[in-house]
Amino acid sequence: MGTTSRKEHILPIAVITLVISAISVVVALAIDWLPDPAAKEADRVDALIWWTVWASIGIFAVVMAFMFYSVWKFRANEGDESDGPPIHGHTLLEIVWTAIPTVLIGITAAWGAIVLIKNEEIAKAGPGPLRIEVLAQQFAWEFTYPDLGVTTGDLRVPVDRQVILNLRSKDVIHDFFVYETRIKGDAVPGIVNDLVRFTMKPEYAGSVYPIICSELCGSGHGVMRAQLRTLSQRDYATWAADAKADAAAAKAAAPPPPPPPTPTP
Amino acid sequence: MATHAPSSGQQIPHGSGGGHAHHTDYRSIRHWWIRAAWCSAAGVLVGLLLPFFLRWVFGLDPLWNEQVYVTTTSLFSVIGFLIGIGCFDWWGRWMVGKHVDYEDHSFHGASSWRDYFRVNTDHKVIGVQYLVIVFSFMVISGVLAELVRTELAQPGAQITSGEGYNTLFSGHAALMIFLVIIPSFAGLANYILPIMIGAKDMAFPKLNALSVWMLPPAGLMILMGIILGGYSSGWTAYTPLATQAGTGTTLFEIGVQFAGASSIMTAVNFLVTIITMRAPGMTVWRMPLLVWANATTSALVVFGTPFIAGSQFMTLFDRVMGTHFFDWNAGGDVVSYQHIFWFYSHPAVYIMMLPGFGIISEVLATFSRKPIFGYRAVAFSTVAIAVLGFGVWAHHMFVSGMAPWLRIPMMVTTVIIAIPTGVKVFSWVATLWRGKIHLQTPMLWALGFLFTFVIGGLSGVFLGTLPADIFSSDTYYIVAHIHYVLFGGSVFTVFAGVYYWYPKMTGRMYNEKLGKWHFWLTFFGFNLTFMPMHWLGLQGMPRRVADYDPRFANLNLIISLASILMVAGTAVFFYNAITSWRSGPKAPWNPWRGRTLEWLVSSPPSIFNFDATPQVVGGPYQYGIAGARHAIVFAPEEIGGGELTETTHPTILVVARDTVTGKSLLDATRELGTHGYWRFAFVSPADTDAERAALTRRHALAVAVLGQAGIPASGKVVSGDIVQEVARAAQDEHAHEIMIATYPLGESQWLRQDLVDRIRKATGLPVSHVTVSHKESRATLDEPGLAHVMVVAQDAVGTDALLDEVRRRADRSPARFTVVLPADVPSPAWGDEANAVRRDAVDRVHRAIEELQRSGVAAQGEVADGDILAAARETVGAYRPDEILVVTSTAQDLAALRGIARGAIIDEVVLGAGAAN
Repeated sequence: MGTTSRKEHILPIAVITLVISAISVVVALAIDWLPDPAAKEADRVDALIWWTVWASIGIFAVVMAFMFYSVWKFRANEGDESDGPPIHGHTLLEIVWTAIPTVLIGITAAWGAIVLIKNEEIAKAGPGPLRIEVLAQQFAWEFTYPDLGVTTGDLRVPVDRQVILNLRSKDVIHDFFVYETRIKGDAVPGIVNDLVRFTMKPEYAGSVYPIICSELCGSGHGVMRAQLRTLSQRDYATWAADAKADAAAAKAAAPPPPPPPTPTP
Repeated sequence: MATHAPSSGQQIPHGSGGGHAHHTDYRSIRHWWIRAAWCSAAGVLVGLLLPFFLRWVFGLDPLWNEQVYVTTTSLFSVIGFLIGIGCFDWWGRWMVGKHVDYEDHSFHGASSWRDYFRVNTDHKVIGVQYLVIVFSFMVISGVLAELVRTELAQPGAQITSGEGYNTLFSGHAALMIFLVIIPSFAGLANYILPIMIGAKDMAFPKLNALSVWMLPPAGLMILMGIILGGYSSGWTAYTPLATQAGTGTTLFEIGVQFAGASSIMTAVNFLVTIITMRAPGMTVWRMPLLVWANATTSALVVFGTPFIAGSQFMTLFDRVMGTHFFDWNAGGDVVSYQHIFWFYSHPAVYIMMLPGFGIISEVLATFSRKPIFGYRAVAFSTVAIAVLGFGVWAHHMFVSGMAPWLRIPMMVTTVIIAIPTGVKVFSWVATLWRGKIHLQTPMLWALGFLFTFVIGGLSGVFLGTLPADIFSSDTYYIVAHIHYVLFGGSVFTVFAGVYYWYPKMTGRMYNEKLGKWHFWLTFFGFNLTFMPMHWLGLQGMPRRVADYDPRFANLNLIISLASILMVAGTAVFFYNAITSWRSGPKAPWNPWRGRTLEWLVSSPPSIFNFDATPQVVGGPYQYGIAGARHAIVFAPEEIGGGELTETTHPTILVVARDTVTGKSLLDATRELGTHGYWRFAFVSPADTDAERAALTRRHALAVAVLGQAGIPASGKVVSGDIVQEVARAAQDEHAHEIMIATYPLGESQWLRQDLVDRIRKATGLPVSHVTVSHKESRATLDEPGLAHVMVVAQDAVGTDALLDEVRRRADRSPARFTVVLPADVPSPAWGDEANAVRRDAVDRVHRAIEELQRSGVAAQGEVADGDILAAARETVGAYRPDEILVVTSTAQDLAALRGIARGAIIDEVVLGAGAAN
């Protein structure tokens, strides 16, 4: 009852907490949990994720340590029909274990808000963001570069320049997602969603990432794939010029022009 | 099968019906099911003709529009079914002004398994009905889940792909949510909650019956949608995908209406019950946490569920009636579907979780032998979660293209919910601290729940954090999270609850060892299945796809194999639940030494739970406080009031002589005995020593038969003036009433002496009278609990030595006897000589049986052709005795007898010199 008996529990619980934490930390570090952070936004998201993971491991370890220790230490003997002490609560303790999570939660929420706001900030420096129209339909993607008058089936973006996608859909809800950017957004019929904004890192130029549809859209949902190709600024400029010329030539060769792929609002 | 036998208020005027005259409706289940069948068929007909007629009248083209007819036929057939099965009978009579009896309890309670298959207003029967429906659908959705895992075991298409695969996971989710998890809590609470608050039933028993009967058609409709195809847009049924879909989606939308209506009506019922029907002294701060949890959940359901009903109606109208709620081509708004849907479906997560929290609180307190740490904080956190739960719905829509400003506020409210949830978890762990922890199966489930739920809760905080959610939504991370909260959370609590209250509901104990197997198989299977999905999701495996990147192949195979462990665990559960229900050991009133009211009544409780209103005198978890109590349950006035416990039984004095072992009398006592509180004291007057010995034997038989049914009884033989002796015995035994068994009028000496009235006058106690025929008192007792002894003898039959031997065996332990006399008939077997031998043998057996019965031994006889062995072979097959008593025989005969005994114990009897064999 007294402090002496309370002290005897401290060491074993600390040991169990450390063991559980150690196992969790090893699991967290030894396994490759997150895909390559190929976009600048991904680093911010990953930092936030690791913060929640570390905080979670701390809470998990403490709660589990108390649980396992209690079950091991306070297990009733065979035939013991007595009751435990009538402890109904402890106000200070309850305030403490409400306050600590509140602080952690506050940090998490604030951090989350900051990351979101930063990730969605429209770049003002340099050439400004590259806006690309994305049209989703069952079961294909179509990317239109308004500046170039070019429409493609794969998305080519320059590195180190913010890309803003204007997501639209022709039929049902689809979702544009590239894991390496950590950003996704629904393509909803009837509205334009321009919240998929990312900036690919220069060192990831020349990579190819899968674009997948992340919102169930029917029987071909699983095969609704496309590719995101990251190009260095120079390669992108070359490709853009070529593509623009090709598109112009095709337009000249085959009048009348196809209707622009703008969905009904 | 556990039965809640009706009290026999008719037979026993002072029986324990608590003032309710009770008689079960006489119509058979066939009647109701035939009526339900043709009413459903009539519904189908109406559903076909009505739209046809209307379309024809208004000149709609085409006349045939499949989805319209699917809608109307399914709707009307369910309504037809509900009318046919009898849900509206009473209200129907009332509406048309016919006489209705407000005290009509003829649809209340169950005395056989049949009463579970018709409309029943007893909350306990309804609770069992709920759970049986729930576990049936759990099997079906488990099969669907295993099909999903079979498909995913390897990349590429295995058994199905595209549309078929979409149907599998949509069906699995829809059935698990609407037909398993939500109604499982309704079932458990239906059984337990009214007893917990000291009520005799729910506030609206007929509404309660209607609620449960809506579920099977609702589930059947969703199931048909899965089978017929066209239900493949996920359980969320987002428009416009759902608008494109076919028949299956129509059936889902109708099915959800019935499941939802059932849920809302039950919630209203619980709210009214909790608010108005608590026993005296049951203040809100004395309510067990399960009651708190269900009150809160019911409020959630009443506010929230109409939203999903609305969302599904609007989609249905868009599809079959040409409205444009979500039709973006005609001014509708696609995203508003998600707002309406999640405004229910997020609180639905708490609808599926809060009752489980209540169960965990009960189980942890009981098996830690400690009060719940911070009872009020736990209760308040339940309410806080419910209130906050309505302010977080849009966190399912962070990437949906909704108003962007809504995201950060919704993130904040979402992560705030972690605080009250954390308070609960910390309080539960603190409840374990310094307790006296008993690790029975319910406790294992509760501890397993703590482990998995903490993981699921923390991954929920991860998901609540907006940028992390944008990254991980619609991936396998979501699949992992939802299973950690809904399986590791909700389903674990359901199992904790089912094991915890199994003895109360069935009156039998489950097998502890199998329960533990079930837990460990499920626990390991669960974690091995769903833990790796976190990684899959973060690494880039989207949910709801049949095919995936080959680099995930190995892990998916491991997951699919691990899921089989859960199947094995569930099989163990079903085996345990079914066999224990049939033949598990009798459950005491309070196997876990719980404090709440349901443990202070019998297992299963009597038909109206409490025959007198109980009084609540303290908090529900007063463990460790000497003398503290939660409530007192009283015996009804008719039996003298006073406190009712399992160990102090008011006594009924049974006055009988040879009729003690009559079946009518035993049945009458057994029926009363199912209430759990009567004790029977047999009193028989005897004049001679022989009579005394015979009656003692009969008492032993009756006590053994009642003991088998868990009813305490004793016997006493008295001599002297019968009226005086009965009066004295009544005083000694503190008898509350007297039952007299006699032969029928005209044959009975006692009736001739007007004994019934004389005893009533002499004792001043209520007296009831049971008639037992002569034949009955002579019949052998074919009752469980009595050993069946076969006596095989030839010349020895009829000798005193053998009869004494049989009597000695009868005195050793209660048994019934069959005397077999092998008559070695001379050839030919049909000749006169043979017949004479047989006749002689029959006479001898007759005399022996007569003699035995006079001395109180339950015996019958049989003459069999052939030698000992032939006769034994034939009769062992017919009677399957537990023991065989054989009079000295040759060694070969004995060995041969062992071969044909079918496991019966063989006793060789050596008789004295006087009786040669």
